[in-house]
Amino acid sequence: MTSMDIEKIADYFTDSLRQVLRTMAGFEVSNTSCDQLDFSDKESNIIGIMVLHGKKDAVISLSMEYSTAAMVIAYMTGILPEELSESDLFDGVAELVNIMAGEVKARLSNTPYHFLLTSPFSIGGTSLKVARKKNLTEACRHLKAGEMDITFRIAYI
Amino acid sequence: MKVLSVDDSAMIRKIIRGAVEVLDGDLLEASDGIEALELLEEEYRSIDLILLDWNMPRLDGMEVLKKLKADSRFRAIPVMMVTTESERSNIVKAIQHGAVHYLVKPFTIQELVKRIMESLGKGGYKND
Repeated sequence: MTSMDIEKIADYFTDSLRQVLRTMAGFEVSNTSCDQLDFSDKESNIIGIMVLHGKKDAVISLSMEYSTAAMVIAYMTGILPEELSESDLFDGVAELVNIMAGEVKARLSNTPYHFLLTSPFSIGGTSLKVARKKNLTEACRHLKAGEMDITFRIAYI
Repeated sequence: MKVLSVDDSAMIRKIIRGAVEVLDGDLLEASDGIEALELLEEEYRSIDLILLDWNMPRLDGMEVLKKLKADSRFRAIPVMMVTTESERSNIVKAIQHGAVHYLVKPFTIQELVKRIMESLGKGGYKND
């Protein structure tokens, strides 16, 4: 896989996420590349994760602050953010990953990058940091809407 | 009107609840295929529509659909797939196995309400 390939695939995922947020939450988000993601200045985060099984396996993740997750899920469900439980947020972020990946799965179905979905999951807490092995083929995107930041990452393993 | 939502995501079930309430209906919920079949054993006479996710733990939506259509008690209940599986081959497979509608996530609430109404209309064969 070339770096151009993974950048293109990362764009497919973020295009899909933008469509999910536009359709289900009514948000328009901008999309930019990001070099490094440092969680240390964030009070708390939720990370939704899915392993993709294909010719080459990959891991995708979406990370955001609790307040962003609450806002997004509130708009999607019509339930006030303060009425959402932590488990609602964990479930909602995992489902966002699932919906985003589903659209890209269909898009890549007749390419060498075709993959199968697995069960998404979320982790959360304060001052989360993610350590990765060096020299992975990976890409990152930053999505913003007002004060809300969402970071997408993909790494082929 | 009573609808059964089968989805492992509580968020999706909440969205579906909102749509069903717009239509003045009641919602029953199951978080996987096994739970759905257990619930149907008790409730199948009162259920007008099943909204079924595809990828779920324990028993996936396609297996549930096959079981529903193979059981004379459940066969007439219309089933709409509500799933991230958007590949054409999967849509065709679901329709061939008896789903009356196939709604791909993401969807708008308006689209969901419209498809529920259409699916209930198609359920007219229930008592044929």
